[in-house]
Amino acid sequence: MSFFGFDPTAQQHARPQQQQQQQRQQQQQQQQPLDFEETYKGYGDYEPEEEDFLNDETFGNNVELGNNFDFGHSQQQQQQQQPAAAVAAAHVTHRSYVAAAASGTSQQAHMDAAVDLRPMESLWNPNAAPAHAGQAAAGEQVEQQPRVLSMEEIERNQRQMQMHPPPLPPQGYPAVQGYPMPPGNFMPPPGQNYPMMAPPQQQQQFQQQMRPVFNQPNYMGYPGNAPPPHQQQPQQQQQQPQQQMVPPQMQMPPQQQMQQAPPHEQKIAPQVAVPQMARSSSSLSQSSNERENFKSHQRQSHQRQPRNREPLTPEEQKRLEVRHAKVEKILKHSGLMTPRDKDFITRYQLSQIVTEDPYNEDFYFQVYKIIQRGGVVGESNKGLIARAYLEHSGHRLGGRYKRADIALQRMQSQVEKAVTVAKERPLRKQEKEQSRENSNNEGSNSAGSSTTGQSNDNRDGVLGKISSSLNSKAPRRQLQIPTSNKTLLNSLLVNDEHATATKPTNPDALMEVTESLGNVELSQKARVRRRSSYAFTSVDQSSVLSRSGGRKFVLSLIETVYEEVLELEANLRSGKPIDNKNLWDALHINDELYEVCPFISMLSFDKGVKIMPRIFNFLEKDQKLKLLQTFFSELSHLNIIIISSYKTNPEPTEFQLKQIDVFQTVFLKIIVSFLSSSSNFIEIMGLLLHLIKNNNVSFISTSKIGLNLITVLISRAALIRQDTNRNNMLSSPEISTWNEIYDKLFTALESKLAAVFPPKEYIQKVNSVHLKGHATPSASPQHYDQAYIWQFLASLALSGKLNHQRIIIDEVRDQIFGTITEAEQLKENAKTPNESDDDLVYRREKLYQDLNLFLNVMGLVSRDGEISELK
Amino acid sequence: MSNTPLDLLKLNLDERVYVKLRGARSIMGTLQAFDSHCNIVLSDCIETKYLLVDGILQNEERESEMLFIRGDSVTLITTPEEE
Amino acid sequence: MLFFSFFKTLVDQEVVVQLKNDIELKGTLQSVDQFLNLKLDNISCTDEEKYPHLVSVRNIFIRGSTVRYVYLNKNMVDTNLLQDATRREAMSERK
Repeated sequence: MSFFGFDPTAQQHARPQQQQQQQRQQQQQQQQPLDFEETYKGYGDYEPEEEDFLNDETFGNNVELGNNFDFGHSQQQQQQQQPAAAVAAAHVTHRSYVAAAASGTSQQAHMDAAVDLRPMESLWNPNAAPAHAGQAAAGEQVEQQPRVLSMEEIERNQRQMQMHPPPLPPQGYPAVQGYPMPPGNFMPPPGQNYPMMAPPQQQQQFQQQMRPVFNQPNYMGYPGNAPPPHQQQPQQQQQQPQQQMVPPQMQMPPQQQMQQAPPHEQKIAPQVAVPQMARSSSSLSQSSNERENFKSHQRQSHQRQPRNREPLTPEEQKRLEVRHAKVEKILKHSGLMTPRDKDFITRYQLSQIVTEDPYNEDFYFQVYKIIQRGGVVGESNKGLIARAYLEHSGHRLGGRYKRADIALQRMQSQVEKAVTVAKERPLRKQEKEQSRENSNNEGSNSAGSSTTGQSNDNRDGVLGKISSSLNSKAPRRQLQIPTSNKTLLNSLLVNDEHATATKPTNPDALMEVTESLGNVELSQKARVRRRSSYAFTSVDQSSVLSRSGGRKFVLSLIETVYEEVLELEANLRSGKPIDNKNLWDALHINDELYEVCPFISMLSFDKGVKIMPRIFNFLEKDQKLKLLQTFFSELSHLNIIIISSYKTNPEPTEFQLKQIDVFQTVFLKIIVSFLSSSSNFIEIMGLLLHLIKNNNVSFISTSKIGLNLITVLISRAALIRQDTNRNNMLSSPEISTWNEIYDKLFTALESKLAAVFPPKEYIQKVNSVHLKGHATPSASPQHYDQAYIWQFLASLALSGKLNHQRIIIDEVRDQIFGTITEAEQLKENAKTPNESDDDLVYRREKLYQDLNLFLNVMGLVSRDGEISELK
Repeated sequence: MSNTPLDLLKLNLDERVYVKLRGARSIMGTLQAFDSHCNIVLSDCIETKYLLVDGILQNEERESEMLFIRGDSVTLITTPEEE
Repeated sequence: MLFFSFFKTLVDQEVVVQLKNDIELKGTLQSVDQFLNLKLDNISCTDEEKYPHLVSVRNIFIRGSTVRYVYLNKNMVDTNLLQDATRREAMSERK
């Protein structure tokens, strides 16, 4: 197969004109499939013809073909051959029309009406509409012709053909072969077959199909006349069936045809060509939409025709050329589309204009353009609609424009703020006592400075410095918070105020929390779930999915959620009322049918995570809260926890790391913004309680996502507590409840705090995957961002009492000094010229910055390999 | 949710799919878009072309980050893993 | 209409079109219609030794049905938006 009928193996100088002609016909044939039945129209009306003495020539069997084949050009006109051929054919039409006038029968008149005019009409009449009417009428007329050919006749004809097989050119005639031989007295109006030889691309399909049938008898009806145009017949006949046979997949014209064609063309007689053009162009000049007018004009020209054979004057010739050029121009693209095609396109275009919601039809383009350049040119209401989509869909939340660490930054800023506030708050009684207690140890300076062999005394000393360092100096300067974070901090502050101001003292909720606290023993159901979470030794996604209905089921749930969201967004656009009931049902939050809540399983898929911000746009506050409670309750079943824990997934793939990124980007951000904007202290405690009660906290803390989730909750709680310390105090039941919950959390984590740091092998694995993913070797190869761990420890320490802080420091002491050692090692490396100094300096700064976030909580700061008091 | 073939295809939006094509080709990729003609857009694809060289079946692989596939070449679409 | 809409966003981008006869053309997408016929500008043939007749061609009209693949770059496509558009199309077809 080749492209557009071009055979790459063919000689480069293959006749372009022929190919072009071929292509056009093929296109036409592709657009209008052959209807075999139509080829019989009117055919059976005629008796079989006996004296078919020109049949051999017709079929080109061992007969020297006529040499007057003429498309109306000499060789030097070859570039214009295609249109010129049309003109020549038109001439032929006229000639045979004379005969038609002489011998036409009524039936032939029918045929005439059916066939002859349309090609001409579409040739000269760019207005498709009248042509349509004519075409339809003609079609009816054809339909009326009875088809008399019986099965017996067909069989007889076929037997005849078998006995005297019509000689066939090697490749030419399969299509014709099956036809019965032409009936004898068939004398159609000669005019009708010739127009069919007019530019082939002009013709209606059924005309093409009829051609091989009609041409033969017609030709035979005029053996005596046999003027040059008649002798074209065999050649024409040869071409037509071949072209018809060309399947829609473009084929090369058969070699034979290519070989035969040139001699005929070379024998073109210029003086014949010229009058042909003259007449056809005179037709053109009188072009009219009226078929009858046209027809009669054609007749006239036929009758005049014989007199017109003398050579033209130069003046006439010049005029002729001008006209010829015009014809060519018109013909250039005519026939590319049938009137039906044109009609289809017109209706299509109209439907585009008329469509109720063009934005709906062209959704991707409209919205994409707005994302790309902030608006379509000449912003229309479509643009506004698309913009509304973007705003409501939260498309950008999950979009590719946001980096994964935005949510983390926000969380970090929350922790930092909490730490900051912790520094600024006035001394509490408890701490005063503590400071007095430890003041004895103050003599021993900078307990943390020695890198090895920390004694208990040292630790005491570390803690002692908390008290002594409680001054009003803002530690934020040392934290070097980037300016961009300041705005985030400000927004957090604003949110804080909002939260505090609107915080309802909700005794019911408090009661609920306290009650569930009283019932500290885990419920039976929770215990089952907890045990099952232990069972996750594999990261096989299906193990989770199979317990909530299977992969396909969960995927179908997600798609239903998408449908509901899209529907709600559409309603939002069109101002219809919003009812989120279907959406809420689709989330299956309260679905108890499955061991794992289907909602949790939905979050196993990226697309389930990505839709979350858009879901949140349509949920009420209590629904959001319920959703998050379910989320925190079943954290252990969350696929993302399993794949982000170094215990269950020691060798994460690049794909899984990307999933983790997506989750952080999207879901963590939702939680952070929900917590900071609309939730009160009791709700946060409730969420934390859901987490602690139903999950294996120590397992969750080995996963990056899990640790971040805990951090988000406790840092937010710490902020609220600090905030209310200034303004309105938390009630004492609230405080005692918090203390209880914190104790539970701490108990779950105690003695396993060092395990929040992933092992070296895991870090190496993650780094190697990252390196593979991003082919930028400049990205620090050994760097694994542990900031999230220090943020967690800082938050934990922040909310704890002094004894909690002691335990924390004791457990992660190795990591503290490990980090300091690593930072100092980088300093050493910086002295060697091999590595980029800037990069090393940056990484060193980063290590200290992360570590200090934690140390600052206890009034300490580490720099230059030493830990000292925060001043 | 109704269960026309295209609905099943929709379930796998944003998921890895395996597409078989005319001409001894197959492609694995993440489904990003499709329509009723089975025109498809895949991301992160690996195309495999199967060739018979001297009677021996050989594979030719080619990666591409984003690919439009014309629907009339597609013979089947499925998910790579078992459920 | 989804892919017509999709290809409209790729206009003026450089794409690689592989045809069903294995010819591969790289070029700037000039225009597209609802049949996904494509017009490419500034084309180059990725395998000019095999298809020497395309060397001198500078722009080309490709009938949509002859296309097998169109290779794109990731940054040309907004995948989330495209998935949404696919869902919308599927929903509107069902209605």
